[in-house]
Amino acid sequence: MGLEALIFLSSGLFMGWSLGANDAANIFGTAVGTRMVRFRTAACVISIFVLLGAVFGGIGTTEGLGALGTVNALPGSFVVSFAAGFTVMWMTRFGLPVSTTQAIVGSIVGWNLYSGNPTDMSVLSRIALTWVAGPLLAALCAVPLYLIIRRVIEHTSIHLIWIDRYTRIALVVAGAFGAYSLGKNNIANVMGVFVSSFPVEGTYLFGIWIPGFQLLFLLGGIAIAAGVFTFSKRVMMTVGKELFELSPITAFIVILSTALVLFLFASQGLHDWLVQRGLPALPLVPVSQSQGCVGAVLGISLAKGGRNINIRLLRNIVVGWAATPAAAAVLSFILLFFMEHIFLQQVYY
Amino acid sequence: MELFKNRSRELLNHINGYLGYVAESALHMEEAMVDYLQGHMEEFERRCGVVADTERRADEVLRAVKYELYAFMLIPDTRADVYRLMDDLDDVIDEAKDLLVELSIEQPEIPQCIIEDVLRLTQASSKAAQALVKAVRAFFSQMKSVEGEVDKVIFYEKEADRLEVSIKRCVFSSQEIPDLSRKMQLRFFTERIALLSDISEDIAKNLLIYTVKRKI
Repeated sequence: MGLEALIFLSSGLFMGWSLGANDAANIFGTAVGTRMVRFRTAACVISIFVLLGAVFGGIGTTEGLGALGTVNALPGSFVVSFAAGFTVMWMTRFGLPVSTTQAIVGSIVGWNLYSGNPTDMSVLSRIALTWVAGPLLAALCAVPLYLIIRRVIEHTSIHLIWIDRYTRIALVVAGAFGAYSLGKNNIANVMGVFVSSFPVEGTYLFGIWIPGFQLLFLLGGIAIAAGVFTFSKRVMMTVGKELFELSPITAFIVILSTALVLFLFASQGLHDWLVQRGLPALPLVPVSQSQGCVGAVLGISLAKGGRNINIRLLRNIVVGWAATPAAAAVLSFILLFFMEHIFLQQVYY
Repeated sequence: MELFKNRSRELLNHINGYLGYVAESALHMEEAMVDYLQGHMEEFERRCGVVADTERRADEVLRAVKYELYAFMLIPDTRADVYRLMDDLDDVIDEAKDLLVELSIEQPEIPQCIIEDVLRLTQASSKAAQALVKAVRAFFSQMKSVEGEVDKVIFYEKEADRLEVSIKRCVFSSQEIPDLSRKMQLRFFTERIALLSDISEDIAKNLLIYTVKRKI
């Protein structure tokens, strides 16, 4: 099982690597691109906090995604993950801010269709709603943050040099929170489809019991960290200089707003707290970090008076909501067919 | 870790020190002119030395500021503007020093009829430079006040312009100064004194653009 399992897990690890290279770059893109934070500092902070978020907080969104369809055969999980990863890679080439979440959801639906497993439409619509709510909430967080920070800067006598210093520290702290939220929220995209099909036995580490799924998340987290260290620098430079052209302070607002949204959609504790008090709780599902970033940037543009709003980016997001899951579902369906009939692997039980 | 080393305080101290030198040089220039016009040549020469010394120290600090801005990656989004601003302010100190050196070398005789106006022109130019320093300080820590301070620079520059024209008219129409060469020498010095306010105004106008760029 050893080598075969590793081969099947490779698509998940690739997904993790890709998440580390792309989504992690969104967290520190401007900070590194404008040289406010050194790449090595950023990479270390992201890796540590993504791992912490994934291992200790990733179960909520994994269960949320599992409610859509539990992929129960390892070759099936491989295909589902591969189809999602390939879709993201392919659509990124067109400059669309695509989401790994939307791709993995489409892939799972493709698996459901292929295996005859019914897709719970209420779960699907709840997840789809978060795709709209994610960027919207990020924009709603960014507007007051922007207005408060602008007021503080304009109405207090903090020296430019100190603002620069505080901004650097704030960028690192917000980046750590962003990385933690990313790990917590998006590890489901990386390892979620393997939790049922690839049962790992738990083990004791320094006398602490680590359940099997957390070991899987740890592996996914390491793949994300590998993506950060090997490929994210180039993406960070692109994000920092070409894509948004944010100032360090607005970058801080974007990171914090996006991290808050990812955290809200992944926090089991907050979810339980709201449910216990009879308040409406946000579903625990993975949401798109890159689209959250775009939402926050648009929020800031609105707070500035609505000038320079990039309609093309908005349109691309909306296109992505439909195109990404559809493409991933079709690809997943086709690849499952080949896996079953050409490679003679059982893709569902 | 580089992030937690306090390079910021070092840079802050250097910028504040540098701005102090700019204001100081304008004030010394003003006082030196008073001494010159009152015929206190010993005191005038002493002040020339002080301004030259201020200029030398300001140059050293300016080099440190430029190095710190780029070597330690401080204020990356505004450093190009700060760099240019600091560089431009050097012209104010240079002009104050050069004017006094020229005066010390040529020692023109200032006729009684324009002494009062030359004094007022010197004060207007010096005030323009000092208002500029205030505007620059505001740029760093109180953006809201920049515009008000820039308005003052522009006001003093206009005042200096008016006095410059008035002195030139007086020089060229006065019977007290018969030689054209002396008239031209006096015109040269009048323009040099007024130049300080012109330089201040140019920097102040650029400062307004830097301020708009600083807004988040």
